[in-house]
Amino acid sequence: MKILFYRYGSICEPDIIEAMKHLGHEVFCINLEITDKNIPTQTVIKHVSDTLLSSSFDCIFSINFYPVLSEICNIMKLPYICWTVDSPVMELYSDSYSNEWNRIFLFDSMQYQDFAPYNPAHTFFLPLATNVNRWNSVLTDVNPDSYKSDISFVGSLYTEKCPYDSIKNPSPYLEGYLNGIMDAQEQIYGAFLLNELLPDSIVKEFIDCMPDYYIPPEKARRVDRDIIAQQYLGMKVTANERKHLLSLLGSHFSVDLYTGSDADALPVHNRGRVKTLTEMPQVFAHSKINLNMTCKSIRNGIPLRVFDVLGCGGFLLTNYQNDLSECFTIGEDLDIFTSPDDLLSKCEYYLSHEKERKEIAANGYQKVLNHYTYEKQLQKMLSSAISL
Amino acid sequence: MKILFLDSPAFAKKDMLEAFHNCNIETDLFMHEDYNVRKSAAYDAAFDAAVENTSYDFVFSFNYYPILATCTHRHNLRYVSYVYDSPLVALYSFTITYPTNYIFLFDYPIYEELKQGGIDRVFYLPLAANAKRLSTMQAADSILDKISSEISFVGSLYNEDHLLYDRLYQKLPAFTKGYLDAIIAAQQQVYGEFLIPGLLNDTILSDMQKSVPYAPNEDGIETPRYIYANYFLARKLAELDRTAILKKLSAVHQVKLYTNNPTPQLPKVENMGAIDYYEIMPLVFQHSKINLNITLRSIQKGIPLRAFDIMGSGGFLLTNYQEDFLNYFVPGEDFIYYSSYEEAETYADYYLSHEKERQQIAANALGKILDAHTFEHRIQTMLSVIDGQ
Repeated sequence: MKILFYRYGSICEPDIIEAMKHLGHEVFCINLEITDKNIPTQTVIKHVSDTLLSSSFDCIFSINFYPVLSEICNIMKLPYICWTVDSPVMELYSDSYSNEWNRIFLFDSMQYQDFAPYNPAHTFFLPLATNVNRWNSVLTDVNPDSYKSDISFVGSLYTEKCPYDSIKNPSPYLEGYLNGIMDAQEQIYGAFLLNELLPDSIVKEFIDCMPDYYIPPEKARRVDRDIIAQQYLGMKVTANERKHLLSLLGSHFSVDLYTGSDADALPVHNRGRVKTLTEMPQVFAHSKINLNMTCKSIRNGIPLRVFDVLGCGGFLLTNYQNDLSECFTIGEDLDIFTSPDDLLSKCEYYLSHEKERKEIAANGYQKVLNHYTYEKQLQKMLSSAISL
Repeated sequence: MKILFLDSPAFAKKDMLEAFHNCNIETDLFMHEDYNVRKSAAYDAAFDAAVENTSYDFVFSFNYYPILATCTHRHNLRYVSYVYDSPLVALYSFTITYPTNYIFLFDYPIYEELKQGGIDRVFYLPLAANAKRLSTMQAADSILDKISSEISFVGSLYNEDHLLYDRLYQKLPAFTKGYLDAIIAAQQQVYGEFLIPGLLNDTILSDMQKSVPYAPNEDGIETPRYIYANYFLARKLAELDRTAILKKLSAVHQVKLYTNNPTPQLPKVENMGAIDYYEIMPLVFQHSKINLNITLRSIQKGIPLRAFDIMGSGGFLLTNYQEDFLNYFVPGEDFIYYSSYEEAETYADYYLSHEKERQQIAANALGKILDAHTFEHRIQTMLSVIDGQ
């Protein structure tokens, strides 16, 4: 197959391209958006159309969803295959979602439940993957000592990129209400309740207090409840949760945090940023416990970090997410926590049970190697996309 | 064997007395008006007199009374208490550490909490039903109209008790009002976990203290968090849960409510007034196609007495999710549980139109109660615990 790959710079694009090539496909990339995120739609249309006319392609592929690509494919009667790796993806609300040439693969079963009704025949649920070969080749040639940790976490604290913090002059009642539902959500794993806890009056007041509130483009559904719950509150809950759990763990154990965020107030060793392709795998492979705290706006799905930790042979302790049991056996391939107390006691247990830890890490590695490499997932994707 | 039985008001009192009798245990009754206070010289004197001339194997009460624990301790008499209420602030009295106590708790998390707190006088024991009596009672034709319905609920809507919460709420600052509205709305959506206590942070608690102050009992270690969560918010939640479900179900089905207070907020519900627990309630359970159990949220995982009464009467039970059910009963075979208001409606629709399945489920439940969950079974467990100590 000849695939036109529209890139925007997502970290998994190189892995997907490599896997497509391994599977025998020809891949041609359009890279304009990697360097210019504000590229005008007309330029995209012209560039993509010109490329399509210059040679014959079997489909266009992108990470997440680009309404403009969907429209072009609809006119050209060419499959547009895309795969989400994030949540929320606001472009999914676009009217283009219903186009019949779309083949939309969603990584989160809740995202799937939300959007499948708008294009049931062309929406699929597909969990993410990892590039085990890449990690293996990186892991052979670095001195592991500098990456040894008892407990580590690689990720943002969301403190610097939390849109909720721009709220201006909320009434005390509104502030109390939002704090209440966010605190409640922080305690609940396995159910995302924030949108159902936003009555109309709160939605209205919130929009009034939020400068530069997200307004969707024309020709898109506007679901304020989802926008507020996921885009604003979900991220704030994530920031709160990461702060609370890292302080708790840091006051009991030695915790290494790899982040670009300001972590001065936390009792952890801030090791700064890591390079995703070269340093991150070392951290995953050489930490006794790798933590995953899923961003709350990923409501059921398994974030990329989970697959990457396991693909590096690391032991993973993650918050409970509903989709985990779709892909893994909890307690065999990885372990979960469902409350701060649970997290503490599992850390204590696994730090002193090396054999169990290593066994679980080995199982998790085998599981992703056999079922969740990009090759495996792309095979599933392309066969369902093309068989239509 | 002979025991002294506290004759305080308790729903299952007569059934328990009958069960002791069936187990060849003689019971003498003891009662004093100060049974529910923490200190009373008159009570002490009455108790001393009651045990002066008879040697009892133990003293028994439903729920737990600190003053009785003190008296039994003073006489070095064993005190067996069987708790069926939650919250029960008396459990936070320091008297529960007395080695003479045998405190049987029906809600596992409360047992776990006390046990982990170092109290070794507590044991886990689910409630039970006098299924033989309940299931064989016969209704007179004259009351059939009153007791028959598609869906019934027996219990309080907490529409008077909740005034306690409303009084507290009115005087709170706006932030705290918003916060409490939010956590109540969140809890309404979540079954299987009582989130409220963990969500009452110090700022919120201090605002509540300023509005309606709570001072702990002199001999108690109960925290304001426990009191506000369990006595104020849980009751408000019971009002909201019960009203919402009855409103939803009554929009499409016949719903009869047996309760003390008028319910003008539920115009489609047939409010039948209060009924006698002992004589009439089991007949309602027998003659309702669906019996609802909507548990007070302060009962975290336990099976409330109402649910045992329904199953023990041979009634069909539709209950909110409570984890302890799964230890003894099979959902879909012995009972049905819902975990959202919408699910309650879905199941009500389904089982109203599937009579055979409904009857089979009710029969299964009654069989299990007769086999393993009568008060006689519980007395045997209590005796083996006491003997083992």
